[in-house]
Amino acid sequence: MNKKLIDALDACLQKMDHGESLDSVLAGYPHLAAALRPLLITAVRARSASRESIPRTILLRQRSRGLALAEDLRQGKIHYKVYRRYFRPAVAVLSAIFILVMSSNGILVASAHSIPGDTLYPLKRSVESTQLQLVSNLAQRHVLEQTFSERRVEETKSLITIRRIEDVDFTGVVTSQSGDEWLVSGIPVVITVQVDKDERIEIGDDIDVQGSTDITGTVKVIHLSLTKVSGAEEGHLGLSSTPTSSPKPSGESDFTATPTESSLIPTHSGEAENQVDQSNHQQSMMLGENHSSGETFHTSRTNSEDESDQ
Amino acid sequence: MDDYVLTNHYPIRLSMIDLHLEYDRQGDLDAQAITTIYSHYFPEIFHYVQYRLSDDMLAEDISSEVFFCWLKAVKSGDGPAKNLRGWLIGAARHLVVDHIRRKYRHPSEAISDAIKSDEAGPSELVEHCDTSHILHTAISQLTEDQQQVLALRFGQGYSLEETADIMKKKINAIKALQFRALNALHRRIGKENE
Repeated sequence: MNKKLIDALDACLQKMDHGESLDSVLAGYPHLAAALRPLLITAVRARSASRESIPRTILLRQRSRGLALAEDLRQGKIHYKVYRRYFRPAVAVLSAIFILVMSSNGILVASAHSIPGDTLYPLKRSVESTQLQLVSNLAQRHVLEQTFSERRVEETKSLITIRRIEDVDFTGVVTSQSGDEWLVSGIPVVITVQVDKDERIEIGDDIDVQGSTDITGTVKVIHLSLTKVSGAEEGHLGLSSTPTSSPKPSGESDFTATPTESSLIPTHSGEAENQVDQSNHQQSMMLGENHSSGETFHTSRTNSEDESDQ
Repeated sequence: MDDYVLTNHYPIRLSMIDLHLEYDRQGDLDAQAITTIYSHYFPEIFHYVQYRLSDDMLAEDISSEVFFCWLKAVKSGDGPAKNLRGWLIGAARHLVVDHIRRKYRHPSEAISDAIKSDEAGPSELVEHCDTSHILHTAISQLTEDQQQVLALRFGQGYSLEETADIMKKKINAIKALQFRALNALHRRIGKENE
């Protein structure tokens, strides 16, 4: 912005305030006159919008009103809460702390019951993420992961119940397959995309479902991945609160969709380590599915069958 | 070519220091002090609000509320310790902005304009539409700071120093703001006239 022009404008306004005409003040700034003229004319117009005087009736009326108000205040007819002068800062601080504590607790409690699409749902997921990061014990971490996995299933069921359309991502057990309509942990899903090696996914397999709920009460699948094949010893399907793992002859522990807390608590020194191995095995299977799914599925099922054979 | 003259029609204001001393001595809302302060400042506040809103009835109501707030503040001991005019203008500004926000949320309040138009005669109506209405419409489209600087500099006739003091900005900032406000108003008036 041109500082000379700004200063010249102010100087011209001051001169005009002292009664000089527009043309006479512009004569002092011939090189800026073209730019200054419209601004000074606008200034004159802006000043013309101001009233010259206030109607005397208004002033008298308001002055009388002010005196009456002052009298009322003096006589205590209008309460102005003197205590606020002294206690306001303390009350404000205590109120702020109280509201902060109560609202943070309240919000956290409320967010725990939120489902995808709710305002507080991102907070719920953030809290879960933080909980996972704070847990250093691997067994406890697995318990949390399974708990959160169950929550995703319950959230999806809630979305279906209220017919809300939202993106979902959950892990569950295939409990029935009828063409493109499957039942995964009690959730009806419709396979709308070509699933690689879908012939390898069978009833009892754990799968990760990504898709979206729709108004018909189903989940339209946009991506499907196998996370764990069913084992011969795994006697039941679906998400359950009962233990579903059976100790293997070799001492390995196996995971189903929802192992209970007790099933994940190490009972001897090698068990937790085995669980980590199993988890890594699952992750490697998922990665394999993404990049070279065919071989991975085949290998994993073969391994599982081999274990069953043992 | 028309020659423009910037007439200064503002009444001579009392010294702020004198009023402040009188106001301090009369912390218990002495009638004489209130009369003096009302006589001195009510027109200024009224002018300010009227300039911002272009409505006499609203200007009276809001100015009245400003002084009621001041009386309550003085009685409770929270009144301004210095610069009473700045305090009153600041309170008026808040109330004006509140009113504009309410009006924006509830546009039906604009019925007051219709009432005012009915009261005006034909010649006044034509004049109002041709000049004042266009000007106030253009001003209302500026930013809040630009409206404020125009109201204080050209509506109230305050100096750069007084305006800077009330707006809590440096004088150079007020100069630049004034320049931008006049530029923007010039463009707006040009559009309104097209």
